[in-house]
Amino acid sequence: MRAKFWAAIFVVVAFAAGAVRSAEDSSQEEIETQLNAARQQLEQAAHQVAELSARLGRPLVDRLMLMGEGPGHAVIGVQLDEKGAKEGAHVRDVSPGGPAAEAGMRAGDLIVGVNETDVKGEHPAAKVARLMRNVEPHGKVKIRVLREGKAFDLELTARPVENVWGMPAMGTREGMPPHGGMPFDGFGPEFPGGGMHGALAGMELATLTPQLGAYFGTDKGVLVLRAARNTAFNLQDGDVILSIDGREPSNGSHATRILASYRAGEKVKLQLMRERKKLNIDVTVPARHRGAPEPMAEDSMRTQ
Amino acid sequence: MRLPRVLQRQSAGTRAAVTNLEDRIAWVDDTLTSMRAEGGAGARASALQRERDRLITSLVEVRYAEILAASLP
Repeated sequence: MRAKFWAAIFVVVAFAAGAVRSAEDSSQEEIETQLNAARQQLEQAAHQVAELSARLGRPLVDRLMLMGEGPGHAVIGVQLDEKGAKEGAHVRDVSPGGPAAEAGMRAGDLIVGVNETDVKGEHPAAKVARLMRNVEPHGKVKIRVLREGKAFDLELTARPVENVWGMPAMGTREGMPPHGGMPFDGFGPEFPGGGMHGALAGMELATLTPQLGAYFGTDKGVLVLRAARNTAFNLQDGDVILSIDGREPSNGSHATRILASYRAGEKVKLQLMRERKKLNIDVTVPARHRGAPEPMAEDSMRTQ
Repeated sequence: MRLPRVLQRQSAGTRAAVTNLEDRIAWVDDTLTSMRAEGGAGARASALQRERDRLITSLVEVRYAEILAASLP
């Protein structure tokens, strides 16, 4: 009788334990699903903030561009004023994440030379602005800086102006009006990175450390931790992006910046390391409007 | 061979939003430099400076989302 009782208890406990485990499993799965959904919402909210912010600023930028205001073909991300008098161009502010900030420039610095040309004397900020108009996108700019009485050089890579506001830079595309005559509906593929965002959504990247590089068989590139939700680039988890149209990304942020600079319909050549083998992929950036499905436009793949 | 620990991961979608805002702020800053250099630092420059302040606020919000997403398991 007593044995039967304990046997029954054992069966009940075992059943209950199994039921709890099963409930825990399904609960864990549910939480993971919710977490993934929350992650997607975060990403979407971030993109919406950026897009809506651009829509809000667009009328002002339109007016300024009509008046011929704006930098040349490339920017370095510094705001200068004449506070430095004749000593040099005073850096009033540095754009966060911009080329100057990345090179180590700080607010309060004095720019005393650009590409070996001295800018001291009358109106140094105007001289810097004039010299910058000749700089090409992705061009190297050597800037001599005076900080706390010490002079040193910084080397910057100028970033293209094109597409920053969803329009070409002034005079960069022949035969086009200053605005490019493009419509702007905020979420369409004509928005900078608009079409590309759909292609990048869900993708997670990591900068390759020497240890990671040894594991994946390369000493350079950016690791794809999680491929994008759509298959726009036919990337897989564990791929290493070696180059994008010949440009070697130095980190995840750089890779994203390069990829986001393409417009819908443009061709991109990716060189990857997949399972320790080099692979070239030619893709076309997909067009994607708000609410539209995420299409795929892979053209061809070949291994080396 | 064991996979080494990954130290820093970035969501490409959120990063694209960040770089987009950063590029616009850089455009605004270089434009302000040009405007001031050409003596146009009047109402238009003030409006553009306000636009910069708004973009910075948006950038902070997007960076917050990015940091939050990176901290998720």
